[in-house]
Amino acid sequence: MSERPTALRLPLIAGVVAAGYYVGAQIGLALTFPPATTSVLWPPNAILTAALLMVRPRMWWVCLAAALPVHILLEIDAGFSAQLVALLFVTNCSEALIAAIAVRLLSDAPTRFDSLRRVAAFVAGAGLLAPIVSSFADAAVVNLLRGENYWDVWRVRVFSNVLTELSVAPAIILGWQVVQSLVERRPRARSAVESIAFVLVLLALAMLVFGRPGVRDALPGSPPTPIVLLLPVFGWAAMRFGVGGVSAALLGSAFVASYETAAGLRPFATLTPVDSLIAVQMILAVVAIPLMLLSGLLGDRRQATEKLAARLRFEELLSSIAGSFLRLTDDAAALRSSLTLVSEFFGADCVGLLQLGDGAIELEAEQQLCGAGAMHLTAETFRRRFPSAMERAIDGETVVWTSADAIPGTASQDVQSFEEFGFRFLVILPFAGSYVVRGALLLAATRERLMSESDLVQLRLIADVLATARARHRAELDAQRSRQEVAQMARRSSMGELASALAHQLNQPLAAIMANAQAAQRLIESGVPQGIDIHEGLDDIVQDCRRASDVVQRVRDMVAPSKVQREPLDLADVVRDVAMLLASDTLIRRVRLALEFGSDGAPIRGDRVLLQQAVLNVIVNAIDAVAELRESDRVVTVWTGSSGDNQARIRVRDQGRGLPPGTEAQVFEPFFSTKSTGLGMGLAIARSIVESHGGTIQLENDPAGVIVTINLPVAELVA
Amino acid sequence: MTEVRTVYLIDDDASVRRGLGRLLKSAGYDVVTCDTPEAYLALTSYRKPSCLLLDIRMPGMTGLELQRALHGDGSHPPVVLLSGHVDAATAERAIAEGAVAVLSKPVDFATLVNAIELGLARTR
Repeated sequence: MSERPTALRLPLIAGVVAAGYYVGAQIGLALTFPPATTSVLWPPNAILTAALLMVRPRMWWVCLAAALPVHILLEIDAGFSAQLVALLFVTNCSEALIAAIAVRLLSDAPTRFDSLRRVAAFVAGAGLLAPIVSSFADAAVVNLLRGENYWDVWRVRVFSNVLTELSVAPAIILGWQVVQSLVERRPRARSAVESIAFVLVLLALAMLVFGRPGVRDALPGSPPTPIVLLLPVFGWAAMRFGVGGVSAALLGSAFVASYETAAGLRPFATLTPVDSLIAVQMILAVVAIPLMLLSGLLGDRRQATEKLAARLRFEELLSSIAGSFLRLTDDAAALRSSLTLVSEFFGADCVGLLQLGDGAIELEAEQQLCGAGAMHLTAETFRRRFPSAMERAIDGETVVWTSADAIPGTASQDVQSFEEFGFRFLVILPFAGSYVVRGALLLAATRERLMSESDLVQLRLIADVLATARARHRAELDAQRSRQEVAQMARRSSMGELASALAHQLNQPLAAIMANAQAAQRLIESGVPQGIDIHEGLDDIVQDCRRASDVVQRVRDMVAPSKVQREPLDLADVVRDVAMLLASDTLIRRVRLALEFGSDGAPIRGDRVLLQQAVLNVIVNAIDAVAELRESDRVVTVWTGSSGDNQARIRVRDQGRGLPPGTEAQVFEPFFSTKSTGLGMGLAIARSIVESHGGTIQLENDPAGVIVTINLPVAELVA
Repeated sequence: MTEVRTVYLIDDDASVRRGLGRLLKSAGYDVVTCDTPEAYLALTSYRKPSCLLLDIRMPGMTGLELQRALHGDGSHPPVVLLSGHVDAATAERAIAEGAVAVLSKPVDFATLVNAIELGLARTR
C-alpha cells in the first residue's frame, strides 16, 4: 500500500476503510439483540485497528475520517440518537487507537505475526488491553444515555471485541499480504488444496457444533460439549497456517456461532442467547490465545531453522569456492566456477572480479547468467558506463546501489547506465587492503533482490576468499616465473660456456694458422729466411686446419647425433609432449596453444627426444613471435596429420608480425636470429634433426604471421 | 738495431707457440717459449728489454693469475695478454692491473707488433 503514489494513496485508503467499516458495521448491527445497544459481534473496531496498523501514523486521520460518515449514516439509520452515535464513535476510535499504539510500542513489526514477541504484543495490546479499556468508556456512555446495566454492557462489549480483535485484525492484515503474494506468484497446488480443505472442514464442524441440535444428535455418542470438536481444527490452523489460520478459524466459528444464535439456535440451551454467545466467545478466545502464542513460537523456530539453513547454504558455498581452487589446477577455471556459484547464490546476472592496477582496471573473469541482451559487460564497458562507481572502487570504497535513486546525482552517467541496463542492484566490494591483489568483487542484477546487511557481510567473506586465492595464485605465478628465469639463466650460461669452449677450441688452431700464414707471407715478401723453415709452418697450417675441422665435426655430432633412434611414433604424441613441456611457459606469457590433430594420425619412425627438440624450437619461436601482442592475438596453432603423399606433417602457425622481408632464406642458418636475445641455433638444430629423419622443414613468411611446416616420411616407407 | 729484444711467449698449445714464434722471429724478435706459467717462473734470469706474451686460458695457472702475480714486480717484463674469448670486463680489469693490452686470437700481425712495442717501451 505504502508504495503507491501519494495522489492515489489517500482516497484509496479512505475508500477501503470506509467500505470495510460499512460491511463490519452491517454485520455488527445484524447481530445486535434488542433491546441491547451493544452488538454481540462488532467487527468495525477491529477493522479500524487493522487499518491503523497497516498505514503509517501520519495517515491515521484518513482512516478515522473515512469511518466517521459511515458510522453516522448506519447508526442514525438504526435509530440511535445523534449524541449516542457521536460518543460511540469516540469509544470505537479509542479502541482502535489504543490497540494500534500499544502494538506499535510492543512489537518490532506491527503487521507481522511470525514470532512469539510479535504475537504476544498483538494479543496483549489489541486483543486484551484495547477492548477492556475502551469498554469502560463505552459502557458508561450506554449506561448514561440508554440506562442499560453498566456491567452487562461492559461484559458483552469486552468479549465481543476481544474476539473480533483477535479474529478480524490479523485476518485482514495477513489476508492482504496473501493477496499481495498471490499477485506476485501463483500458490503451490498443495498449499491451495490444504487451505480449501481447512475452510471446508472448519465450516462443516462449526455448523455441526453450533447448528441444529437434530443434526448433532444424528452423530451417536457426540460429546455433551460439542465445542471441543473445534479444537483439532484450531490446532491444525496454528500448526499449518500460523496466526492467520487461527484468526480465520476464530472468525469462521464466531460468525457461524453468532449467525446460528441470531437464528435462535445456541449450543448452551440453558443460557439466554446473549449469555450463550458470550460463553462461546469466551471459550473461543481462551482457546485461540494460547494457540496464537504457540504459532508465534513455531514462527520463531521456523525462522531459526531458516537462518540456520541459510547459514549452512552459505557455508556450503564458501567451501565449494575454496574447494574449486584446491581441486582445479587451472586457476582461471576455478575462478569461473566460483563466480558462477556466487551469481547463482545471490541471484546476480553478472559477477566479475575487477583487477585494479595502477589506475587501470581489468575485469578478470565475468559470469553472466541471464541473457539480458545489452549486457555484455567488459571492463571497458564498465569503465565507460560507470565512471563514478569505478572511481570509488579504485579508492577502495564499497558501492551498493539498489536503485537509480540511491546513486548520487553527480554521477549522472552512472545513473543513466544503471537505468539503461535495467539494473536492480549493483554492488562493488573492494578487497581488504593488505592483499597482494588489488581488486574488487562486482555483482549486478536485473532482478529484484534485497541486499541486506548480512548479504554484504557474506559477500565480503567471499571477496576475502577470492582475494586470498588470487594472491596465492599470483605468488605461485611469481615463483614459477622466477624458477623459469633461473632455468633460462642456467641455460644461457651453459650455452655461454659451450660457446666459450667452442671459441677456445677453434681459436687455438685459427691463431696458429694465422700466425704461420702471416709469418710465411712476411718471409716470402722479405725473401730473407732467417733460419725459419717455411715448410714446417705450412705443414702446421694444414694440421691446424684438420684440427679445426675436427672440432666442428664433434659439435655437429653433439647437436645432432648421426645415429637416430628409430622407434614408431605418432607426431601427435610428440606435439602433446612438447605442449606439456611448454604449459607453464604459455600460462605465464598468456599464450594459447591451439592443438589440432588430423583424424588419420601421423605415424612415423624416429627419435622421440630429438623430434621433441625440433618441434619445441619451432613452437618456442612462434610463442616468442606472439608474446608481445594483445592477449586475444596470442595464439599459436599446431596442426598434425598426414599430408597425403605419404608424408606426416606438423604445421606451426603464429599470428605475429612475421619476419623482416628477405630473411626467409637465412632463418635455418646457424647463428641467424631476429631476436635480440636469440642465439640463432633453434631452427638450425630443428632442420638438422628433421633432415636426419629424412624430412624437410619449410618456412612461409607473411606480415600476418609465420607458418613452419615439417614433413616427415610416414612409418611404412622408413621401415 | 743492435739491441736484442726478447719476447717471452707462454701458451699451452704447441702449434700456437710454433706459429707465433715463427711470426715474431720474422719480425726480428728473440723468442723464448714456455708451455706453462710455471715453466716461465722457473727461469733463472730474465733478459731486458723484453715483453711477455701470455695466453689467458691455460690449464693450471691461467695467464691472468700469472699477470697478477707479476704485477708490481719490476724485475719482470710488461705483459700482453692473448685470448680466444675475452669479455670486456675481464679485459678492463687486466688493463687496470697493469697489462699493456688484451688481444683476441687469432691476432693480426700489425696489432701484435704494436702491443709488443708498447710493452717494450715500458721497460726502458
